Amino acid sequence: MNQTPQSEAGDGPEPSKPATQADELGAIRDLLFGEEKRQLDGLQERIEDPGLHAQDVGRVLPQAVTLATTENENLGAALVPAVETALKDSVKRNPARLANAIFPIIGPAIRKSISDTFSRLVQSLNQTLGHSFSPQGLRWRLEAARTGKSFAEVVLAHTLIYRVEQVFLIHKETGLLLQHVTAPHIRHEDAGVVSGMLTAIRDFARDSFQVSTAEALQTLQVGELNVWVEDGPQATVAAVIRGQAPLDFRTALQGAIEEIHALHGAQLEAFDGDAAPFETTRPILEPCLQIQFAEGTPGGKSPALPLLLLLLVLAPLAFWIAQSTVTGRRWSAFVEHLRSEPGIVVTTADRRDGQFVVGGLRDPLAIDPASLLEEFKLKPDKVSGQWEPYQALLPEFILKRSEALLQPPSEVSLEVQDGRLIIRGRAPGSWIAHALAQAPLLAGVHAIDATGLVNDTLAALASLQRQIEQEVLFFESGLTLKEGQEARLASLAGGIRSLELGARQTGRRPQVTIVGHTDASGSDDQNLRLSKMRADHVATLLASRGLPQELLESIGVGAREPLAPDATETEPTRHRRVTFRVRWLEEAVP
Amino acid sequence: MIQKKICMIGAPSVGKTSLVARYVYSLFSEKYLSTVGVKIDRKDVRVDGQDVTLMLWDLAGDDEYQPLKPSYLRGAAGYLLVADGTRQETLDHALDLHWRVTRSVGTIPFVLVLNKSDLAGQWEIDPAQIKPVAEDRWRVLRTSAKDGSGVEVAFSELARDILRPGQDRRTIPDPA
Repeated sequence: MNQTPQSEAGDGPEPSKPATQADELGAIRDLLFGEEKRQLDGLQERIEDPGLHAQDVGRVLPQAVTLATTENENLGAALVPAVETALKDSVKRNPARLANAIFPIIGPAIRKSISDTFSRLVQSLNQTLGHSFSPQGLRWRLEAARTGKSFAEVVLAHTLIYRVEQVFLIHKETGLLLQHVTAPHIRHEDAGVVSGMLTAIRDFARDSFQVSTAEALQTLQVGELNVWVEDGPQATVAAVIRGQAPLDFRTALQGAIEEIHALHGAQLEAFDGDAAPFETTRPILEPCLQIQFAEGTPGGKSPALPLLLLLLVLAPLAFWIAQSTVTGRRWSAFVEHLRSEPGIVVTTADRRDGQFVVGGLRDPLAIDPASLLEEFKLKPDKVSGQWEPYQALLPEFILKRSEALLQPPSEVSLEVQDGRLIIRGRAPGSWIAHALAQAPLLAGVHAIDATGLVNDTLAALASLQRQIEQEVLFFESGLTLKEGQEARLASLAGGIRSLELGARQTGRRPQVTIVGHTDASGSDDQNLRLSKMRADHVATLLASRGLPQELLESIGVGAREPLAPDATETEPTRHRRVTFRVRWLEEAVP
Repeated sequence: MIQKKICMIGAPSVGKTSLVARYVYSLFSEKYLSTVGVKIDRKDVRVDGQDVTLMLWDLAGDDEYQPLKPSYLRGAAGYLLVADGTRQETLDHALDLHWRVTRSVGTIPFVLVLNKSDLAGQWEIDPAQIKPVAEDRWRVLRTSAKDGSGVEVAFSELARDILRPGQDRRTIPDPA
């Protein structure tokens, strides 16, 4: 290529000259292009080495993707097949991974869908209710009956401003249907055939009026139906509208067809009859299924008003029914409870003029039915009782009656067994006499068992008698009491008085004998006189303390009853004393 | 499912609409043919194990009052070129239509159908007339919309040609 003229002349080789020239040229070339050559070699190496090439691409890839996404939307469309394949492979390998990834958005999406559906349902209900309770609604009902249409259809016909019933996505060149969405409960013909005919009719109109291919029929009107068509380069979107849609709905259609072209431009261009890739256009087309009513909008006031009125009518009714049901159940429970209560026999339980009436037989000792009303949450003014008194012969009631009548002291217990009243414990004689007299009169008491009952008065008198008879008052000499005997004398007087009072309850009268004693010194006659004097002296002292004279008697025994046989000589003062004896007189003191 | 647009093309009264009526239940009445100039029906078929939906565009018979509208041919995947076997001129008309269709939408699969085979006694088309097109590897079939013979085959063959464009055509039956 870079052969020199000398080499072409062929004058014979000069062994050193060509080599020198080549070296020189190489040196010159290196001087001139050496740096560029090294750069080119480096670039070639980067291109041919997959590892280095991948590093280079990886370095600029994020920036390139960002740039391509902002400048046009072809990259997104181009990536769709790859992303779809990747997703399919991912699901095939491990479905849980993708499920976990989309889990956070699945719940909100479902909730939103349910919320939308419920909102539409409420709106529809409000709409129907609103017209059901108005004069206009009644007229429409008559119209429905006259025309044979359903009430809903008549309401719809009168209140609907517009409703988009169907939306077609049509391949522009072939007229084949790519996607079709419909509003709920809309009947429609074969969408594929309609799609073709719509295309044909538009072609017919275009051909008939000699307009350019860019222009086309954009609106068709048939009765209440309008068909609005918006074209894109490859596809057409056609909306079947009942009523008059606002002009800005056309903007919505334009937006939809533009979005579809942006997302599916390449697929539309390569369309060969397979509409499966356009399944993803459904979320774009479905928002075009709009609806608007003349009266009431979701969240508006007028639909809520009839609902409120209905609630105002129904709420008290529902409350009354619920209240009646609840009160009825409480009443039944109350009556059942009364039937199980001892001492109550229910013979009547019913409602009269809005009032609950219960009646029958009731032992006065049984529970008061009125006291149970609060427990069963029944109002006292709504319940009246008609009770006849009777005496229940249940053991518990016999016992209650016995306790009420006899009022036993705290140390006495009562028990009823087979009609026998068993009394146990300690009681004063007066109570015992009262109980034994009254108990046989109690209903249900056939016998009395008082073997376990101790007469407390007799026991007390016996004890008191023992205390008095153990008492001794000592004398210093003559009739002079020893120091400290005055206090004992006072205590003795109290004891004798108690004995006398207690004995009255038993129908007996005590007689206290004061026995005077002397030591053995002196003659017997002297000792007898002195001992009698000592007894009389004590009797006088006791009488001075309020004891009746007839209660007391005094005798003297001299030294005949020494205190202790061996103490006679050594401790003479111990024999100088008076002692006491108690005897009982049977005749009662009036 | 794959959809394909197929056009029915031919002179007036060759039996295009009757062939479609024999093949599918029509949603629309024939009045569309005289008004819009086309009536569309749909037929789901299974060809060599593949389901395909044929959207049949029955175009009004081409005449001086209602000439064939090229716009209706746009996007067609194939067509049935229909002639009346009892009328020689309809074959000539069909050949002319074929030329016009090719010029409008390019070369696409088609089947030449000689209809009214039930009227054998009135048959006018000589096999020799078919020979040139047969040599050009056209698919030519005889049908009768009246007794249904050949109708299913005609549509199926066309669908097969559309779905398998590279396949060799089979033997052309003798139209005589």
